[in-house]
Amino acid sequence: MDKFKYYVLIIVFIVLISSGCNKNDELTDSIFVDAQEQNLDSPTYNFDVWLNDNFREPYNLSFKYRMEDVGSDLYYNLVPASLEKSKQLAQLVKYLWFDVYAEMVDEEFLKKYGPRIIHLIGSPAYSPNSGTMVLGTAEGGIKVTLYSCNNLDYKNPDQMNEFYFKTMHHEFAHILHQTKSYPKDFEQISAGSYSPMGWQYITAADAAKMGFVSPYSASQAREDFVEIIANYLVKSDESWNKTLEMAGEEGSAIINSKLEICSKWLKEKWDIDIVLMRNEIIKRQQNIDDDFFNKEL
Amino acid sequence: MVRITTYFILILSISMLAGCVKEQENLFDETAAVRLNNAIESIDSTLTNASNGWVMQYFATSESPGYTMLIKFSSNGEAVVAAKNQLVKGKYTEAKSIFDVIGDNGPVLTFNTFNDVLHIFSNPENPSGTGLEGDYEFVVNNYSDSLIQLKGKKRGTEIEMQRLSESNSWSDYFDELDKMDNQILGAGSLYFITGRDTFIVLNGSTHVFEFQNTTTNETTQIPFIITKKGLKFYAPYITSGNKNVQTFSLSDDGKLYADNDKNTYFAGPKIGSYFVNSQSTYAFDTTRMSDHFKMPIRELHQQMKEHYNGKRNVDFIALSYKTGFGNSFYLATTPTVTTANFKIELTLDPNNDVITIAREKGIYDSNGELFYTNINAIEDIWSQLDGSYKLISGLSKKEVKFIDLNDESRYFVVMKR
Repeated sequence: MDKFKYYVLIIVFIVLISSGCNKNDELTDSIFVDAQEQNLDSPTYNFDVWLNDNFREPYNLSFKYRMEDVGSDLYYNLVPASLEKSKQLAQLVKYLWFDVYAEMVDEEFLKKYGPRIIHLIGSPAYSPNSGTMVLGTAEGGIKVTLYSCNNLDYKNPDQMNEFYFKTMHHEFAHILHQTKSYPKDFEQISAGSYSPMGWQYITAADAAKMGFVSPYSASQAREDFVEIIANYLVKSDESWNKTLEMAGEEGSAIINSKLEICSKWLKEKWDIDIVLMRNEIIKRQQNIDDDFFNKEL
Repeated sequence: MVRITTYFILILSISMLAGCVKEQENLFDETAAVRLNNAIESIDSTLTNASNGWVMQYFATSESPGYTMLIKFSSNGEAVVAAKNQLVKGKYTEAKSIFDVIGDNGPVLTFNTFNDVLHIFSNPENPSGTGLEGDYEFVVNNYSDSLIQLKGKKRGTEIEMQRLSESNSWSDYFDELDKMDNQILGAGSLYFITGRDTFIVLNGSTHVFEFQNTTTNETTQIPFIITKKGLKFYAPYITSGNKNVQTFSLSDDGKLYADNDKNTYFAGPKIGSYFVNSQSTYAFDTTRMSDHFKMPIRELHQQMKEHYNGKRNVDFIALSYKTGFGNSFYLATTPTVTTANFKIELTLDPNNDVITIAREKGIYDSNGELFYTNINAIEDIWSQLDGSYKLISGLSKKEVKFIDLNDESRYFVVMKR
């Protein structure tokens, strides 16, 4: 009898386990809306299609011109880029950055190493406490954020280079050296002269005399490295020589030695000839005028 | 051993029963994410269904002045925003951009491409680094077909949108707000009376009142926005009678009463004493006066035109004040700019707030003498002004109606220049 009770209890136990909590909720609708769905009536339809054809399809890149606050730095007070400036900047980024690499290196290069997201912000990112202004950021090689897009003036190449294209090459150079590190020799050249907290108080002239192409170069070695590349790529001969003149004999020697390391590293690690690339960029910059932009976007 | 095992299984079975016996009822039929998506769709259609758009009462921060913007949301994702304020140089301005309702901190209305009108409040470039510190993304707290309550995502500022009726033209809407602004503000200080408490109210033109308690001299800053009926404080004000007052409407008696408490209101200084002390120029509104004044003024225009062959037409006539001369009946001409003063005496009866105008015959400045000699109509108008008048004016004292005490059909209206 005891044995019988024992078996009955085991059976009850198994039944309870197998029947316990057997009610599952049915799957609900997906919470995600198809991000690629484009509205034919939308005032941005043509632009969205252009972005799809020129960035998303070929480069798997999301060109975000509609500001996503959550994707920006909440420390700053920021505003979105205007639609008009976004259209201009998108075409300029394609022509002066992506197409240059496609022509000078190969089409696969930016597909492989280029950012996955470009995020446009209309205003500068001011730090009222330090009195500085961020022009762009690159996060882990994935995302490049360009600020102050509403101030884009394509008729002013110096402004365009300083605020956008220097920033793009600066941020992309970060992506490259984060992928293949730059020579340690570089860090030795100005070791001891870097000032991470005080660079904003150094004038361009003083920075040049110290062997830096910009005050921001004096913040730390990795910024110095990418500033050399970015400044050399976008500055005309006249503008680059002006920096060297300002630097004097000692400063220009330092800048030239840094440029030599950068050039060698680009050639050896990435098969990029910085001089040829610079010539191509400067040549293309001269083609930017009213007629350059697609009015249908 | 069997007994121990039996007890063990028995206890375990009972505990299993207890564990599964009660399935918790779902409070909602759908998951939070699905409900958020549904809310987004519903808010989007509420926004776009308002065919003449919405009136947004915008405060950049809880300390900032209020600004009205009109916004039309289209189903294709485009928003048109209009405003007329000093930030757009005082001109009616419209700007287009894109809007979206996104899932963020709950459903959020975002204007995610730059709008020249709306983003003025959040652009950090002016003043550099901070700007006006306003939001351009708003958490939707409550919504209906007639009212949407928003909260600035960063600053937490409370912002309302009311549906605009179909019949309202946008530019007319701003003209009505300007008119109300002119009727309420401009007299310098006002008084805010609530029960037994009286406050002197300063800085109205900034749209952030400074309330000075006349007993304690304590000051309080009260941001507000002009509405079609009067004004609205950013936040409710708790009166000494423990009532929350926030919206005020302009009454025919020239006072601005709290909508829910007639013992709380704004009042201006008495018009009689204000007018005799103002030393301002108040031009006659020739469309709002009885024929007693209209006829000689019409004659003045005609005689000036004929006598000076169009070189000295009447620009305007006014009640004015000239240093060293005193109060005057004033004439200004165009295109050749000339001014002339004809002396009048203003006497105030402070008990009844009545002003008596008495011309001082034969006293005028040198230009006045010239015009008086050549133009007969001047004598007619100047003499017609004589009389005792009851004065009616709004809070701003920008417009004053003079009604003859002895003959109510004799009246004229003057406007501050």
